[in-house]
Formats: sequence, C-alpha cells, structure tokens
Amino acid sequence: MALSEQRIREITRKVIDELGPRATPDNVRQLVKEAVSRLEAEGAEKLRVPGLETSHLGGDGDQLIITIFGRNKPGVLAAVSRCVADFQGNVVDVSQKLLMDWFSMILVVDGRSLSAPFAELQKALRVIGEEQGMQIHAQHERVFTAMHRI
Amino acid sequence: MHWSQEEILQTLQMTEHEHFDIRTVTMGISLRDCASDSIEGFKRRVYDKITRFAGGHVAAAEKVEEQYGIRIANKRISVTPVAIPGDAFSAEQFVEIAQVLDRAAEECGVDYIGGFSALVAKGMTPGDQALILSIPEALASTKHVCSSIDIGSTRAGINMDAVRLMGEVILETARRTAEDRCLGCAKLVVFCNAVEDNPFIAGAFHGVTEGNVTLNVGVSGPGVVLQAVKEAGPQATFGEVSTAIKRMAFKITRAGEMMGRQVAESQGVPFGVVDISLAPTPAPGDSVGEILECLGLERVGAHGTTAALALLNDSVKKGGLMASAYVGGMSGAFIPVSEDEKMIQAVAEGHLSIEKLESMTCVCSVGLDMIAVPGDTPATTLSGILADEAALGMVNNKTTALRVIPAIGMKVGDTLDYGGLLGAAPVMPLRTLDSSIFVRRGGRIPAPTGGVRN
Repeated sequence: MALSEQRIREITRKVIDELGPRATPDNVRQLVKEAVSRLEAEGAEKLRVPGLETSHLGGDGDQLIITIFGRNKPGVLAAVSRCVADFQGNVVDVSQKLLMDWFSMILVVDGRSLSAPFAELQKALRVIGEEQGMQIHAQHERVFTAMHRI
Repeated sequence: MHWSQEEILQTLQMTEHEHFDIRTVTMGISLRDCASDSIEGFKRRVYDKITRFAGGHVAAAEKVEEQYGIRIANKRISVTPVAIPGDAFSAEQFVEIAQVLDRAAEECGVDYIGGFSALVAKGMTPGDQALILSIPEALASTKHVCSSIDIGSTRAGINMDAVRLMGEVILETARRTAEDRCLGCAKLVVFCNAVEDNPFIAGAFHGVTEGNVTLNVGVSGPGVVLQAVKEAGPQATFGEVSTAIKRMAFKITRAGEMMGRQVAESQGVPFGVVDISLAPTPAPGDSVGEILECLGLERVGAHGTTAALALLNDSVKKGGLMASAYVGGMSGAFIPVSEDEKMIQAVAEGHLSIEKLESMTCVCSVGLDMIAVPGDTPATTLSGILADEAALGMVNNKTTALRVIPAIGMKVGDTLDYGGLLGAAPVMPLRTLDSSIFVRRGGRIPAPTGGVRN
C-alpha cells in the first residue's frame, strides 16, 4: 500500500540525518525511493485480502471459459482448440449446441498450465474470431462463480 | 462443468446485449496530509499525491476488465472535500487548486475527479465559503473537476445561508459556461445527507472518516434488471417481480465486488464498498424509466410511478445487501432526466413535472438530477427548489440532491442537448411564484425530531 506524504517526509528526514554531510540530492532521492518501495511492498503484502473475504466471490480456481457463437462452418472447433493447445491449455469440458445453422460452444480450459499470460490467449482467440467471423469470448471462471453461486 | 450452459450464456447475454457493466471504479484519496500554509506547497502536494496513488489506476482497471470480459465504463478519482485541507485559502486560490486537480486527473487519464467540495450542513468556515464562491470560475476553467456541496442533514438541519448562496452559484456557473451548454452545472451537485463513500460522479468525494486511500466500485445495470422484469412477465405479482429484481441485483453486485476487489488488490489499496445503483445512460435499453414502464405504466409520470420506483429501489438494495458485506454509497436507482431515454420522452411529452420528480426522489436513491430549467429562473427560485429537496432528505433521513441546469437563453420547449453520456434535457417549466423572502431569511432550519435519536 502506498505511504502517506507525512510518512515519506519522515523517511526523508531520517535519511538526511543518517547521511549527515554525505547527503546529496541524488543519494537522498535514491535511498528514499528504495525505502518507500520496500515499505509499500510490505504493506501490500499485509493488506492482501484474506481468503475468507473473497472465497464467496469465486475462490482461487483457475479455469477459463471460452464461448463461441456464430454461423456454423467447418474448422471453427479445430482452430480454437489448436490455439488453446498452442498455449498449453488443457480443455477439461466442452459442450456445444447447433440450432439450424447457428453454432454455440463452450469450452472450459484449465488455465494452470498456460504457457503465456491469459491476456495473450485472449488476444489470439480474438484474432481467430475475426478470421472465422465468429464471436469468441474468453473469461476467467471467477466471474461465473461470483454471479451464479451463493 | 461447474456452471450450466444457461448460466454461462446468461452472463454473456448481460454483458453483450443488456449493457451490464461496472459503471465506475473510483479511487478515493485523502488530501488531509497535503495541508500547507503556502498555496504553492499545497498545490504541489495535492498533485504529487494524486498522481502517485492513481497514476496506475486506469491501467489496473483495464487489465481486470480484459481478464473477466466485463467492461469497466469509467475509472475515476475522488478526494477529500477540498475545503477541509484548503481551509486557509481564498476564492482565487481555490480556482488554482481546481486547476491542479484538473491537471492531476489529466495526468492519471481519468475523465472526472470529484471532491471540489465543502460540507456545510451546519455552518460555513471562511474556507468553505471561499470554495463555494470559487465554483463558477473553477468549473468554467477546468474540464475534469466535479464539485459537490452538502448543505443539510437529518442531524444538523438545513443551512439556509448555504442554500441561498448555492442558488446564486448554480446560476452564475450556468452563465459562466453558457457557451458550452451550461456544462458547469452538470458537474455541480448539492446534497442533503451526502454520503462519504459514493463512487459516482459528479457527487463523489472521499469522506473525512475514510482512510488514506480506498477503492469503491459502482455497479450499474438498468438493462439487466429490465430483462429480469420482462421475463417475470406482466402477470407476475409484486412479490415475484421484487424477487426477480433482487436475484439480478445480487448477481451484478457479486460480479462488481469481485472485479472491484481485483482492481484494488492489484494496486495495493484497501477495498471500500460496492455501490449498487441503477444508473441509466441515454443508450436504448439502458433506462430506469423503461423498467418503470415495463412494470405496467403507460409512461413514466403516470399515477403509480412513485410506487413502482419505490419497489424497484428497495428490491435493488435488498439484492445488493445479500450479495456483499460492504454495500455503501447511494445504492438504489438514479433518475437523471437527461441521461435516461424514457425520462426524456416523458418530460418532452409533458407527462413528468418537477413536482412528480420531487415525489419520486423521496423513494429513489438520490434526487432531482440533470434537470434543465429556463435560463431566466431567479437564483432565489433555484434556492427554493434546493430547500424543498433538502427538506425531503432531512425529514426522511435519506440522501437527496439537486443537479439542476438553468439553460441560459433557453425557454420551456427547448432542449439542452449534450450528446454522449449526459444526454439531452428538455427545459422544464417551474412555478413562477416568488420565494425570495423565504430564501433570504437566513440562518438554519432546525433539525427535525427524527434527527435527535440518542
């Protein structure tokens, strides 16, 4: 957590006192910066919201939900699952529905083994969506748990 | 699969078609430790503190937005009512402070910063008065700054000196920004019983009882609630409709809290509250008025409108309260005229008068909001409207507010068109009777018996 102005001023005074005649604007700035970022990191650690507070909001699961909609055409499922595999994602559940020539599919992917940040996978899926003329959404599971589970 | 296909599709339906979004994540920053006896020192501390804490706010929110696929429409900042740390300064100096807030907002990439405020329910310090007098120039010379003044409370009564002053300030603000559609008045709210953790602009400020920094989230979703009411059908009883609204409010509050906590945690800032408020936008299908009509009223303004709004407001609150331990802010339904397609229509067709709106504010979460009135309205009449609205809040122990725009050079029948989020406000007729002797009496309306509860 970021420190108050008051606290930073105190730290600065302390640094100047300790350095005595060796104090220059540059070394004071450097030392204060280090001290502030160390204290802020410690504060952030302490402030981390405990499990109890967030468990009702979806807990720590790490599954990704990919939903695909559009006019059915060959190769959509292949393109999406290839993309997931390229990112080392493991598909743990699939369901799909076909109504006339409209197609909807939901993939659940275990996100723990992903080789790149989730945002990268989202970006790649968006590109596939545009290429295939489909709507593809990829969301973290927490949003569904938060909304649909008490 | 943990979730049924219907549940997953419902969430997507809400975000993709029914305008469900997190309306705002607002970082509240205390400026109390920025107080200084020199104006330059104060301005520097304010700018440094805001940019240091909120510099990464927009990026953090965008990251969470992407991860969960739910839009966070606005990223904003609120600060301690500036009159408190700046109590020693003059009106001219407060204008400079507003400009510094504007620059800090620009630097952080947020569209609005709230907290150019004073809390004067019982009395005004010289600093409070200076800030109030600086408002027209401050709002005319800045783009991102929003101002709010608390002029009454159930505990203190109504500060009628401040009410008189605010009538003049509203009118002057309209005049000073007349060339820009009197836009200054859209950034100025006057409250009774203001809340300290409201994340919604223009009335957001970081209350004096808050900590150093906090992050509050405002969740909206008139579209999803409308859908829930539609699905309940015209034959549903009031109990069934209320349950349908509560269920939906529960879901969106949960999603909002989850995302708000993520934004807060990623910046190392404590999470404050979720404000679950149905805040309409002019987009089709994002209207509170449409929910009221869907409940069975031909138009907003029909007899029964107040009851329908009471049902809606209460159900939203209950669903939200069940979903989160930390519900705060306004939490309910907003009825800004210019920002709601169906409210605009009702006013334009003559179904909605200022008196009906006043009665609606007794049961909704805020007050008379984004209402355009003729530009030649006397300041004392504006003060009269404000006193009436404050009285409703004071006696009923609720927040009420006034955001009124005297449309300079316009008369009843004209429309003040902002476009975008602020929408379009048809100029509404007011009583032309004189309230000036009442308004100028001076002093304070005593607190009601309801305010003496110890």
